[in-house]
Amino acid sequence: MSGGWLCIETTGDVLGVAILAADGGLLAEIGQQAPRLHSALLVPAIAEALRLAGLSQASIGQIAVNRGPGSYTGIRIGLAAAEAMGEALGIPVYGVPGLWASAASRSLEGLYAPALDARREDAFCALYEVRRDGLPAERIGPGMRPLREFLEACRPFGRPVEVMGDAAGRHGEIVRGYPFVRIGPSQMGAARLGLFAIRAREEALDDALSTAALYLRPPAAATRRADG
Amino acid sequence: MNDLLCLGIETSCDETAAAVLGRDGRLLGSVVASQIDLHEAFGGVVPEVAARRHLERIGPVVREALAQGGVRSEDIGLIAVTRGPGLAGALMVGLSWAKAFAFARGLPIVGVNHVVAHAHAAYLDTAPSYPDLALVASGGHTDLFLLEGPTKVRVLGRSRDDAAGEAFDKVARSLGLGYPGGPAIESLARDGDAGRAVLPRVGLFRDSLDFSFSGLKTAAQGLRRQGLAPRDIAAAFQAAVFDQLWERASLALRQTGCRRLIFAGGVSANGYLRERLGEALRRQGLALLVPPIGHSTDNAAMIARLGLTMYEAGERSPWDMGAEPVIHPFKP
Repeated sequence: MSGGWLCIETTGDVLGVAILAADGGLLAEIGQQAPRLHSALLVPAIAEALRLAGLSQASIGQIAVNRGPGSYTGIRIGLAAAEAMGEALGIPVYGVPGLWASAASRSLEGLYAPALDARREDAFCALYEVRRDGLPAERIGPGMRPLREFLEACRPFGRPVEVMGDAAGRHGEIVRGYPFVRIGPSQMGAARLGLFAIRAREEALDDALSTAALYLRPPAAATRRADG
Repeated sequence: MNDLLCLGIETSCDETAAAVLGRDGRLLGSVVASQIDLHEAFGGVVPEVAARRHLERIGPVVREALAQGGVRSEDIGLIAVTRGPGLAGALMVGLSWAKAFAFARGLPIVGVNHVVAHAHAAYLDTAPSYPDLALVASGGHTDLFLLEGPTKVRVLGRSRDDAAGEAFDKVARSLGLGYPGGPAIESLARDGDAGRAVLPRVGLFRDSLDFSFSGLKTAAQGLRRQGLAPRDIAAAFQAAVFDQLWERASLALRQTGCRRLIFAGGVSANGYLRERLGEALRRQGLALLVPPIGHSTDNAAMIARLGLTMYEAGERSPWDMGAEPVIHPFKP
């Protein structure tokens, strides 16, 4: 596959756009604190990232986009834009599972638990094991659950767990009750999405790269999370 | 430039729609994917359900509209998209899709007002000409406005409570009819006698051109409890809706000096209302202008029609254009 990667992250408060070379080398990255403004600011951010990378739209060879979980509106803004650009440019679009890609952005072996605030005391979360080779292995599958319940489920592994994402910061009083928890980064840049897609394709894990939204919650029960 | 085609995108409520319009105004393709089946069980549109379906349907709907017109996506020269009013999450799907497509291709984009676009559905068969008086009545809006140009609109009246289509839906539900209620009431009313039921004629705002359908709705629902036949209630309700629409519209026609009335929006698909309005206008030597069959309810052809007209008037929207769920007072 020739051409660069356009990476789009719209599932959280930070709007992220990254441009990678075909081999994954970072050419440009933008992160913008823009809650509720993703639909307005995504295209300007893509334009700015391309300008920083010195590339034009036509030099994009493929797109990686976070397909969730996170803000429902944010997930849709990213997927709609990615699919439209894929259609317009005739290039492939890879929807990346966000929690898995977060864990995959860590290189030190161990247990990692990406957990995104889902309002009240719930989190969109999963537990992965980062190993020497290959993408992280799933230990607890992605789901929306009470943060306490999730951390209890992590306890039997008997090892330190690094909690990544914004849930730990929003619920410090809960997380502090679990001594095996280490607090990891709360935000991940958009570049990790492209890097994950490259690795998933190398490992022929194409199933992970669907463009179906990963809401992790049926719509009838859905209450809106922070909008994009 | 002469063969430039306009792709219209509409996702403001519960229809995912795309249409392709030629520069000459010829409609080449128009696809509307309805979600009625999806929302029926809830008795109304559930915003999160609607937004999810829009994302699933938008790509296929655009491809189908292009295929219908035998058009390649390379032939598109302009994008028109609904930016509001409507459901925020639903609007953002169409807007994000449209902006990204236009940006990737380096095409101009024009964001349009959904209600003003409804009035422009009447210009799908005939070239736009301004000024024109428009009455847009649907499940979400009842607006009477003077179109002074594609981007210049003077609001004369609007519903102070329920939209006309909303009243149709609610009365239909109380009569045990399905959703949407408009077609069900129209067909039931054909065998009904409007004279058997007395419904209020709303004169609360006699000095203004505003509408009110809430009291009428409640009164119609009350007749059911009095044991009146549903077909007579349906007929009386429709007649009362007509009276109110015509009272305001005829006053607005006199005030503005317009020689014709555009009647658009989902409620304008009602054959009884079309017929009565046409008759009343003809008696005064005036004309009724309605959208072509199938373009009263939400569609993307009307979005493309207004977008193309705005583009020709020099309008361009910036890349940071956002959704406008509530446009009040509404602007184009």
